[in-house]
Amino acid sequence: MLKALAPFLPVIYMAITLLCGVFYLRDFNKKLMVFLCLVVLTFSNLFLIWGETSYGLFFDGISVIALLTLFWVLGYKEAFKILGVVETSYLVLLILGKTIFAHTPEGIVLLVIAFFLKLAVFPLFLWLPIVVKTIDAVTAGFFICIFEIIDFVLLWRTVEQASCFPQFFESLREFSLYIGIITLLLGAGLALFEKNLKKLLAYATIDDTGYLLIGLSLFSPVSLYGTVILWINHVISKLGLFFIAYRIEKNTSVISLGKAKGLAKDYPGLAFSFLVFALTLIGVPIFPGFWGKLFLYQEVLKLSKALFGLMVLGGCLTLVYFIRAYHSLFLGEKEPETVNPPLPKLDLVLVMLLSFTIVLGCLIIGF
Amino acid sequence: MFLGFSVGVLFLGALISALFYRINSPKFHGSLAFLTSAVALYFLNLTFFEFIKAGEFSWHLPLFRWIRDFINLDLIFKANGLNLFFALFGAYVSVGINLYAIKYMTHEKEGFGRFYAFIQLFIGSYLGLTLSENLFWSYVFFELTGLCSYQLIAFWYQSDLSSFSAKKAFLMTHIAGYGFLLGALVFTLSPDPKVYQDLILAGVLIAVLAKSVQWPLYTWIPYAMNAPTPVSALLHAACLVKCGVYLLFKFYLLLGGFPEFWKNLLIYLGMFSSLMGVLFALKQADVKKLLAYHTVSQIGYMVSGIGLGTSLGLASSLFHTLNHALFKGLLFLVAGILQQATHTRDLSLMGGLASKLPKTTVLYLIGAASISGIPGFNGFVSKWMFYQAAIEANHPLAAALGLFISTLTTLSFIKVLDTAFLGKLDEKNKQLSEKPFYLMITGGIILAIPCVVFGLFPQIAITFLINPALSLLNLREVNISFYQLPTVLIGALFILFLGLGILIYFTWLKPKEIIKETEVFKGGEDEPVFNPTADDFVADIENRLANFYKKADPDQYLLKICSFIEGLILKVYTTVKKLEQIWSKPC
Repeated sequence: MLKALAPFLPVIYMAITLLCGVFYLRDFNKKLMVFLCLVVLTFSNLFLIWGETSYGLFFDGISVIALLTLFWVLGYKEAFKILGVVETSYLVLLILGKTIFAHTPEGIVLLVIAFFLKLAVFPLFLWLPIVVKTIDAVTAGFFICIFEIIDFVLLWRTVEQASCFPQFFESLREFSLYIGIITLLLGAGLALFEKNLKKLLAYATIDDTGYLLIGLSLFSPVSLYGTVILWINHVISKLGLFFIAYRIEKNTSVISLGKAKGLAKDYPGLAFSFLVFALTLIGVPIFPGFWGKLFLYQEVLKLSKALFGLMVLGGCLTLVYFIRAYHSLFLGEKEPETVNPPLPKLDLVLVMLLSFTIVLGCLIIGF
Repeated sequence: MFLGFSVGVLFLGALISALFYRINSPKFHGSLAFLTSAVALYFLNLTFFEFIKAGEFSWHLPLFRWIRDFINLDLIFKANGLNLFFALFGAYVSVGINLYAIKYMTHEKEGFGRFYAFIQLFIGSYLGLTLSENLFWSYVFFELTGLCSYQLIAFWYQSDLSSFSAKKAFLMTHIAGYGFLLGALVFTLSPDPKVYQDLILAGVLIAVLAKSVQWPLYTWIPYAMNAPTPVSALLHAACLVKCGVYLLFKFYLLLGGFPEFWKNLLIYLGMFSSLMGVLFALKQADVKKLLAYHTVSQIGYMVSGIGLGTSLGLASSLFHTLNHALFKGLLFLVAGILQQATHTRDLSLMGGLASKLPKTTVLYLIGAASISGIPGFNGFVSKWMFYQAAIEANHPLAAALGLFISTLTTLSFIKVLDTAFLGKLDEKNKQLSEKPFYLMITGGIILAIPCVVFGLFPQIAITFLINPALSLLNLREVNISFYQLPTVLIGALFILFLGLGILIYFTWLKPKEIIKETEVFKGGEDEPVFNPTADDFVADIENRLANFYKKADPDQYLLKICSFIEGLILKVYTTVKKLEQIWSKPC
């Protein structure tokens, strides 16, 4: 299935880079350096997506350097340090897994840990909210989405490799399933109490990664179909939500829930987009996220009713935190002192992401 | 094909309203919604006639072909007795309410595209739910109705109260909706669903309790009254709250009946909800909240009727579902007229409106008589059927409770009649005219006519709408008669003698001035005694039942459960926060 997806993933990757590039070229300084970083990052990551090559480690290294340079250029010193630690650990694990322990279960374990770290899976998730909090929302959305694409592809490949060791493969699947459930619940639970919108979206990413991990660990055709839908849906919607967070941050200087209120009056387009992205991530019918979750629910229910219950609990928490965020930011009486004069109502970028979501939904149903 | 068209036309209408949201005209969007709902009703009628002629048939749209080997997600609409029953009354009521809304919404300044897009999407989803044969699509439509309700309650999104009300309604109904998903998945995945029927029914019941506002998950509906009145009438009286009732019938069909435990549970849960609903309704001074609590109460009869499990029990439930959609829809429309005429929903600020709004008063009287179960109106027949079914099924307590609740319902509507329509007319309402509300009244008349027709000739509904559904459920057909007399004869006699009475009055009594109007004898009492306000009623009831009201609100217990879960998560959150601080310090 991953091979069948191979032609589409670079397109999605390129689309993300282009959309973020629009913001970088329009609103940010040091445009040339940022542009160069994006080009190098795209070049190396596309190689990683395209297939397993002997130069994989080299491109991984280039990708890490390009991303860290981007953070340095944009002036995010604190995030640079934290991400530096994460990326260094990742590279060390990768080198060990692909050289000394190559083609052994131990090597696969090291690789899985490396990808879990980058995907911010329990218990290696702490770095993500801290980094996201200290950087702008566009960069946060950009690096989260590219991590989700690249590292999930690499994790998927690693899990496929693990199938050469049947007993180990079963243990790995079981382990990943439980880790996925914990990640999902933890991400959703933490997002429930988070007041900072960007951090909330970071926790929501952890929550969504839990679903992806569950789907991958079940490794049945239906669960993998569900995972692919959730994966693409997550990338598109999360990027859209980060763009919305960027607009709010830029125009109101307030990104904390409960402080900015009633924004729907001035920004109806943003409110509508936020709602659509939130609903699809929650898994409300008839949005694409629902179909993905439905497939996963079906497969999990075949396995265990208790796990199904925990997944539903996670789904309920997702619903609560997204709806709470939507109401607290967009609905209710407006607080005039926190809002600057209205800006363009709906960005072209958001329209494109919304269209992607709708097209994805139609493709799933009618394809 | 007409089955698909009936749903498709509404989705198309919703799309047009959404795309042309910039046309800020209530008439454009309102007329479109009225037209699409009328076309949907027309298609459904064609389907119904075809069904009567040729029996069951279905419409099939292959979807999700790429995953068909693992899960069947084809869209299948089926015309059978049960599906068409729910679809037909929903489409009929929506026509009346959409006509009403054309005038009602002219009071708004903006948001017409949004409003009517969701109204049409809601009706389409409701029809989709009731016609769908595939349980997964039933779930999709079930949740779409909830989503529309959420957006429509939040119509005045700039108000904190509307925002809160919408949030509460969506959270409660969507979370409970996972129960339906569980039921659908277990039913589909199990080779023999009977083995897991307890799990399936438990899941479905949770969804039903929230959607059909039964104890203890009804607490969102009083808040939902902060939506425009057509929304309250169409969603929170006629259709949305019937989705749960439909689900019970659907699973009754799929499982071939319910086990004894579940039947008993449904009977007494329904009656308990009904009692709670009516007791809370009694203390309301807000006319829409009062009607909302009566929805809780009346749906209790339907749930209880299904629990009885006999032909007559299920027939009473079906008939009451139909009747409730008509009379409750009508009462909400009346409430909307009162609200626009007096600019308040508070009954205490109304009074003497019968003299200024006579046609509205007649509509109210028809609705109130129907819901109270007064003979000659549709509510009487379905309630009578329920009492009879309960006694025959050896549940006399349910019958007694039903009768008691009906008495309290009558009391509640006498309060409305007394405080809003009778008594002294308020000074500020002296210039009131009914003329601007004629279109709204016409919408009400569409709902009022069947209340009387089904009250006098219930056999029409029983033969053409209820018996086909009973046949599908493998139950014997029912036939209603009072005192061994056919209902058609009783209806005909009633009309004959009513006509005779009117004839005598106008040709003999009135011209000869035999009946004289005199002032009412007050026995020396002060005038205020004869002009009690809703507050007078409410204060009395609240004083007597203060302890009950304090402890009976389920929200306080639900909040405690939520707080407990929140407390647990908060502990994890605090720990993670500390860890985050430790992690970020060295950097």
